[in-house]
This record gives sequence, C-alpha cells and structure tokens, in this order.
Amino acid sequence: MAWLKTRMRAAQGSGNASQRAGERDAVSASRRVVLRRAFTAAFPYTVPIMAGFVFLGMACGIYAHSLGLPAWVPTLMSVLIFAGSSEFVVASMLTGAFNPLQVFITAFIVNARHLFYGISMLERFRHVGKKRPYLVFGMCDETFSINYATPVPKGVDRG
Amino acid sequence: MTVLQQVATILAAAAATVLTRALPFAVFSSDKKTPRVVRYLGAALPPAVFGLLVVYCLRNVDVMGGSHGVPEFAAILGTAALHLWKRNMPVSIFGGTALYLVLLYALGLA
Repeated sequence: MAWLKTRMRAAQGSGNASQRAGERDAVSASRRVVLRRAFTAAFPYTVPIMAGFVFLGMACGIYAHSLGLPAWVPTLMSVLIFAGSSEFVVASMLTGAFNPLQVFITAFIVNARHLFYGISMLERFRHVGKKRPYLVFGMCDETFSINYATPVPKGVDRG
Repeated sequence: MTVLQQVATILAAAAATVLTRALPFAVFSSDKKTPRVVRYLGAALPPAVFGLLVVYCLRNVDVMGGSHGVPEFAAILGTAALHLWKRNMPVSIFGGTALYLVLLYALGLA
C-alpha cells in the first residue's frame, strides 16, 4: 500500500511538472479550454454522487416540510452545513426547545468522521492554493471518496 | 423557536461541522512536517473507513430470520463481480443497486 502511495505521489508530481511546461507551451490555450478539460474529466466521476445528492436533498426537503419547517430552513442548512446526516438531525432539533450548545455538540459528534477524512487529505490538499478553504469546507462523505480515489488526469489540476 | 433562534441553531450546527472538517488542517499546518503517525493514519484510515461503511450498511440485516440476508450478500457479490469485470464505478453502483432492488421485488420484500 505504501509503495503505491509513493508511486502515485511521484506520478502526480511529474504530472504537475509537465502540466506547468504544457501551460508555458500553449499560452494561447484559453482558460475556457482548461475549464472544459477539467469538466469533462471530472463529470463522469460525479454522476453517481449527483444521483445520491438529488434524492437525499429531496428527502431532506420533504422531511423538513413534514416537520412544519419553512423552505428556507433546509436551503440554509444545505448551504451552511453541507453534511447530509446532521441536516436531518438538526431539522428534528429545530422543532424542539432552543439549545444551540446541544446542537453544536450533536453536530460535532455526528460529523466527527470528517476528522479522519481531513487527516487522510492533509497531504493532498497541501499545494492547492486558494482552492484549499473550499475543498476543506466541501469535504463530505461523497467528495472525500471521489477526491481520495480518483486519479487526477494530466493537464487538470487537483480541486 | 423564533426565526432568529432557528438561524442561530443552524449556525451552531454549521460551526461544529466546519470544525470537524478544518481541525486536522489547522492542527497540522503546512509549515510544519506532519508527524509520521498522523501520515500513517492518513494512509491507513480510508480503507478502514470503507470497510466500516460496509459493516454500517449491513447493521440491520437479520441473518437468523427474514430473508437471512440473502439479497444483501447476493447484491454485494454481484456488485463486486461487476466491478472486477468492468472496473467502472457508475456501472458498479447502478448495476449493484438494480440487482438488489430486483432481488427484493423477486422475493416480495419491497
């Protein structure tokens, strides 16, 4: 396992170097081409995740509605929390008494697994520059599986 | 709960969630070298997490009663076989899910 990691990292390193060289060669290559290449490389990997997100999102919205919560509640939770399981828990807690500390502790425990995801992604998110905050914020079960398991093709940057 | 309290509740949950995501990156900042133990955990944990997720998925399967977990284990074997054959993640996910649903309907469980 370890040798594979080293090899993968080495391959990534050389990929980055040749990518930089490629960028210097083709200064004319517009940003749009780069974006399209990244999109066509990434989209197929994310289709199964999208199917999961769409149905989970609908389920969360229906659940919040069944609890008598207004539509902005699941919307705000999706934007700010972005973690499926805890959004269901928080939705049910929104119907109870106001206790933000209890909500904080519950959400931390439910999402404690992210700590392990973060430890696993420490090295990979090291040199991604200004994209790092968003990659860290958007790290959920699904994005972790993709970011961890997907080889980044040549000419496409991580993140 | 008032609207303000609802917003505060959501913000509390969001803060806790952001903390679970950002804490490892904050503790092991990029200036210092990450400790060996932590780097080992980073390499060793993902396979463990994936294994754990399989166990978690099967936590409600009753091997002693009902359908004895036959559709679940048949679907897992089918998914694994499909993946070893095609090596295509979307094909494995949709194929495995379809197989599981067909088995559930065939056995009259859904």
